[in-house]
Amino acid sequence: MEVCLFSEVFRKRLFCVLLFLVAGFWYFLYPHHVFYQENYNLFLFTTAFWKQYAWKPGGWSEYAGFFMMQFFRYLWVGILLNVLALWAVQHSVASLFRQWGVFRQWYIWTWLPAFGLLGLQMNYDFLFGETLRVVFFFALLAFWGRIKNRKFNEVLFCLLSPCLLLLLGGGLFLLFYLLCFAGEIWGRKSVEKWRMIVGGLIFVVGVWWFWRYVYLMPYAWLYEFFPDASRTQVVVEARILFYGFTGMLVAGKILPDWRPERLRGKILQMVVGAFILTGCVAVLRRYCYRPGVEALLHAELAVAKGSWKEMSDLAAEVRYEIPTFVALNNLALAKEGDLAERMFDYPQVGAEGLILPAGANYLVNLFGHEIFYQLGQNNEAYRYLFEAYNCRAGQVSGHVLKRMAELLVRIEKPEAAKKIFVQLSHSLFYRSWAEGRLRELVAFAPSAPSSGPDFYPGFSGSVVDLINMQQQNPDNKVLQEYLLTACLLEKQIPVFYHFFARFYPAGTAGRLPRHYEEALFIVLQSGLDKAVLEKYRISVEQFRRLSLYSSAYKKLQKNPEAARLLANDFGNTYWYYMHFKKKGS
Amino acid sequence: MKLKYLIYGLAMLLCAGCGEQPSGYEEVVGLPAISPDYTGVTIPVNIAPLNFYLTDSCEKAAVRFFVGEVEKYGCEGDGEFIFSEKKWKALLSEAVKAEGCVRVEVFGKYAGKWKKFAPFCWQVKNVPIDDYVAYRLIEPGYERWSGMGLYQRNLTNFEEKAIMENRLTRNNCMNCHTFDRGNPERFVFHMRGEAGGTLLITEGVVKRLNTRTPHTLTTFTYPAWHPSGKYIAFSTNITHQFFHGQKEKQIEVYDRDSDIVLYDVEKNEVVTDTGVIGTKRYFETYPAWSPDGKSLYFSRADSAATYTDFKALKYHICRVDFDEQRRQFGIKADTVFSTDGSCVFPRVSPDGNFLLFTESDYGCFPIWHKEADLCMLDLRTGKLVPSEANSEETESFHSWSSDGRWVVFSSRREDGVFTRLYFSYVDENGSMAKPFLLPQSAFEKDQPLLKSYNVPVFVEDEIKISPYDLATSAEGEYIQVD
Repeated sequence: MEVCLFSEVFRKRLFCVLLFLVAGFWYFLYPHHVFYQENYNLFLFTTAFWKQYAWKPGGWSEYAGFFMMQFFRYLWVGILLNVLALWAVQHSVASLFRQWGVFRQWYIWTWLPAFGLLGLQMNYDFLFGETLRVVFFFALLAFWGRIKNRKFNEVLFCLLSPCLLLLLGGGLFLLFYLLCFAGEIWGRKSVEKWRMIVGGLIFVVGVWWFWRYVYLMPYAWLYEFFPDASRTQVVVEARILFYGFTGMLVAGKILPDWRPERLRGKILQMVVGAFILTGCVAVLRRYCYRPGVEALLHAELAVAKGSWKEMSDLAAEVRYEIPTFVALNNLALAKEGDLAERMFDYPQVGAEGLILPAGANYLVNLFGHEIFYQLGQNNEAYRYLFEAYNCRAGQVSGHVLKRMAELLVRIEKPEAAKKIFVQLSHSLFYRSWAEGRLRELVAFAPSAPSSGPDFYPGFSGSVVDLINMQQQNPDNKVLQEYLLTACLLEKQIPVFYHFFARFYPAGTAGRLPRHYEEALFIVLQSGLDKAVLEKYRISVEQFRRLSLYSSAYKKLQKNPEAARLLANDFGNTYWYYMHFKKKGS
Repeated sequence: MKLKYLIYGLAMLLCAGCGEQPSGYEEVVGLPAISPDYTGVTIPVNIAPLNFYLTDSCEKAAVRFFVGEVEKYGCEGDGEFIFSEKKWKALLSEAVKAEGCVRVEVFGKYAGKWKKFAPFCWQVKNVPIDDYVAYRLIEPGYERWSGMGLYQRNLTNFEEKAIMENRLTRNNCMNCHTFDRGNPERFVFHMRGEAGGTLLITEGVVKRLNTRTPHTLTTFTYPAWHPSGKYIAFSTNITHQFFHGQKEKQIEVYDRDSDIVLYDVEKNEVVTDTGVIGTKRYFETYPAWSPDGKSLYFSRADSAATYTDFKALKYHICRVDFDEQRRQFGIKADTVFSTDGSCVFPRVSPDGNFLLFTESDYGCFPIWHKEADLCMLDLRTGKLVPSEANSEETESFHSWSSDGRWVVFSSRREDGVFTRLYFSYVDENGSMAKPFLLPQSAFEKDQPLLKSYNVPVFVEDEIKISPYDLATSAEGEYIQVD
């Protein structure tokens, strides 16, 4: 007697374990992807917002998705919804296979589309609305399979096709109807087949006409699964998921008798099943799991909340050397007053790790704005934020709009800020904040005109920009620190010393930050000021460290491995940076 | 009998549903605080309803329209007035038949008591405005853009349709839409980015032009159709942008070089030997033709000013003769107008009597200059005509209607950031009346639009070519300009 491994009990246990593991994954490894969905999107209770999605293919799912994403600010809600989506997909596929009578044989395979969805969800900008489209696709297929009356099936799905297009979006809509059509034709007589083919062609022409004269959407949206995605990764993953699923359906129809039970022995069956599941996890781990992005999102949220310690702890843990991450960490250090004390405890990439250049990337612009916002450079903060806003093709973000409104008030455009406050007052969780700010606007009074000459950031390098910014805000300590550290990172020692002497006049009491002390030795060595050690009190510990470094450096100077050998003991000093790190690396 | 009672009952229910009538009101000296500010404006007879609302909170409100002493139309509500299009049109028709004035009385109920504000008048001109205005909608941004499109709005109602949207063409940039004397079947606009090129539409035929040639600075930029329809004057501009550090200004856009060339529409040729307007000594830009096509107006600045001294870039309005038969410009360009500031966007009225332009402190991109204002020059006398059209904020791009009685222009007077369209009546003396905002069917106070209206131009009729046809042509083969 053949024994089926996948008994009812086993399936239920496996089901619970898998979903629990997925929930654990989101909670422990990927929570900031969940928070991102709420923080960087926005649902508005307005007709204009509804109209944006009402006539857009896939728009109904997106609209529902935005509504649900509001609640992702509560991590458990986001995790629950994500896990429910996976369950819904697996359940729908299982239902379909159950109707064909191959459920038990193909049980493990019914999990593959769910894992495919999980892989898509691991992209930070794969929003919950897109998850819903996938869920609806599989659910509708299962529903179609349940309707036994074929005529009723045909009529229902033809009548509902405009709604399904608005629910599923172009690519999924076409695939859905293709699969249903193929399923209907399968096993029919020739005459019926021809009738169906003609009907199908009329249907396609109807869809094309509707598309052209009603929707005003690019034709690519008719056949791409996720046309909003300029992300190649999502496009590839989606194709693997849906074409793979189609292949699975075909195989299920053609090979109903294939089953793992043909394999002899429970152990072998377990091995095969485990291999399939492990294979899925391995593929997800290799191609979809992006801890770097998770760290970036974590960093941005920490900085946006003003949790500077959280940011620097994260940087100590992950030690990424990419400019965006380094820049956020440097900001956190500066806000804690530790930039010149601990900067080289972390990877540095030159001045680009202080001021990010604006670009075509949403996250870079978003992070860049944060730096200027904290430095009080409102024009530049607003510019970066606006570029971030435009990078997302108008997809509204609560976090971004909040900041834009704040910056518009700072640059004294209160009426423009009011428009954004009004927008946000139509949301659920930003409403009270927006209404409060609207009330405050009544008492708005412009400040004194800017003093000093105007300047034009982004043209003459970070050091010049920081000099200008500092001149506009002479009392801003964070800006002073930024200016001095930029000079150090760019190895502009004379400029560094010029401003250092201004911010720290000779005889300044108290201990100087560690990296400034290290830099002062270089000032002495370069002959800029031979009396520097008389003007500033440097700690005994620094003298000792310098002595150790100097002797080690002299010994290893000609050794090509010098950088690696000295990194352990002296990698966190400015001397090491001067000798071994290129500007901008 | 029962039917009679039923009818009476229904009538009473209907009446109960109507707004409360103002009674026992107190007369207030000041004008009502309404938004948009439509008090005392001059409007064309065919304009869509000027819906407005009271900006102060009131329990109830009412408005009455009088032509002469006769009340023609009334409306009650909660402070927001959306007028019936049919009744509105009837009201304006009656007004032009009478004295051309509609007197507007606004009432508001505050703390249980009615107040009547000082009435104001709308001058209704029996001079219809062109039916359509075309514009671009875009975020008022910096270097990047997202969704944008060219749209046409019917000015007699609230219908807005897309002429072209960039989601059909891979989210590229599109701009500089210009029509041949307001003809919806003849226009040109540029696409930048992946589906780049200049699209020339003539009687439903779309051509995608590659306007980059060895003899021009860059691709074509700002266009101006010759009145004959045979030529288009284009500027070619090398444009740069940079950003201010201080809060008073955000963006600066300037040309590092510019010239004007002539494109022959029928022969697909560009004339680059434009004599006095193609020299290296000056930056020439923003061409505009006189109504008879015998003169070309343009803005010109001395090229000696470099980008580090961009505040020295001051443009003056100049004019040069043009021989249509020989496709040649005159040998001398006359300065028509110059000031201490910078004058750009010259536009001659259809009757040839007036020149409207924008003046700012310096530079050639006044939309980012708060001090930019519209100026009307009487070409017959050489004197500026005073205008009510300007505000404390930016006034910039403008266009004349086909009969020269109306002007549409962009203004940031609402908030200093988002550009909106305003219309102003121009009388025989060139004086611009108080402008009115593009009529809206819904109020922005509830659902603000975070985009700017850009480059408004009048169009005489609906543009019928499909956006899909334009998008398809934008991906088609280039026609190289000779």
